[in-house]
Amino acid sequence: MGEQQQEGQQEIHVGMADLKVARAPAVLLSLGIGSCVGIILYDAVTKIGGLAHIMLPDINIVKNRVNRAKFANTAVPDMVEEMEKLGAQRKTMKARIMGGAHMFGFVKHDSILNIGERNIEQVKRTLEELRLRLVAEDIGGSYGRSVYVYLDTGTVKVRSVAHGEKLL
Amino acid sequence: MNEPKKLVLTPHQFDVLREIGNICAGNAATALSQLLNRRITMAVPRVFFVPLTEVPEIVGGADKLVVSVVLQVFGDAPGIILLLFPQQDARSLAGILTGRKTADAILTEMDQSAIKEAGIILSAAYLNTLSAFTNLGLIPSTPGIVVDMAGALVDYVLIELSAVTEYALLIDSEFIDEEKSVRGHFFLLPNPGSLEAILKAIGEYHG
Repeated sequence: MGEQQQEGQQEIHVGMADLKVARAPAVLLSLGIGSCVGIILYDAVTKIGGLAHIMLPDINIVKNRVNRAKFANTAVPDMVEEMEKLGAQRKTMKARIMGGAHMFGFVKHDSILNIGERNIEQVKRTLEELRLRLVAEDIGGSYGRSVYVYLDTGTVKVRSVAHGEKLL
Repeated sequence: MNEPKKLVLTPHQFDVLREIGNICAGNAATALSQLLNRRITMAVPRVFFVPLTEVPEIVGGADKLVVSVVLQVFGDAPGIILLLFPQQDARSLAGILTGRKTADAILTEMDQSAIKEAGIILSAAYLNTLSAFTNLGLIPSTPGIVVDMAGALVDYVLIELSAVTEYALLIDSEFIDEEKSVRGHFFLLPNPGSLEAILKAIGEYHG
């Protein structure tokens, strides 16, 4: 798979509704993201990064608020805070986002089920509110994606069945 | 914090759901046998009541490539039906239905509509039986077909559930034809309210 796996590169899996932060040389990855959105924050100075795999846009519109990593508007600030605890600086953090697909053609675009688009909108709004710069994105479409974040270089690789591999 | 009500299933409720699933899947297998004109057997269903985040593993692995037919269930106990096939098996199924053997890796339009048709037959037979058991009105939507990573397929389905619950109920029936060329999984995922409705209907709800 593209990049050579080096000695000591610990792979950290980020599941659905989960977020993880780590420092180089770890690799953060999340597999099979459809309408969910993967949010990557990376501080190139300290080589500390984070990956969140959110499912829903807004914690305020649902009753079930047990897991803050599930929502765009709570996962991003929590991730920033956890990265800062490791020593990262907010002002040098850059954001990349991926996912937010519209998986099923039979679900209408204006339907409440078109969650991908709403997720993307909220992620962008939250990044803006926190003054985090969005530098790259691979979003939308109707296909699933996996993401790999190599913290030693800051390289972000997105892989899909439909379009192979690309670097963000 | 507004904690969602956590529903706990007793071992007895698991058994009852498995038994109902068994009968529904049996009828679905019979219907598919008639469509394909060959013997289809169903394994005893597995019933999972697990955190949503574990569902991608149950359906085969988050980045595993699958062919999936997805139907929404409308009526008194809404939910989702997911039919998952490994790619090779989806091609075999399409081959049997269309009478054409293709070595092509890509499923043609005709292959896809044949697979969707099989999905409708299985789902209708399954839901009819479940309806008869529970006296609940259950209607399948038109099917959609997607070839993609299993995780990406289910996240779509799970997102809706995740707004109200941390848990998903999955009734998984594996079916296989006599030549072992078509092996697939039929998953029924009732919405949280629907699980209660089904348990109530069969007199197993003690909430």
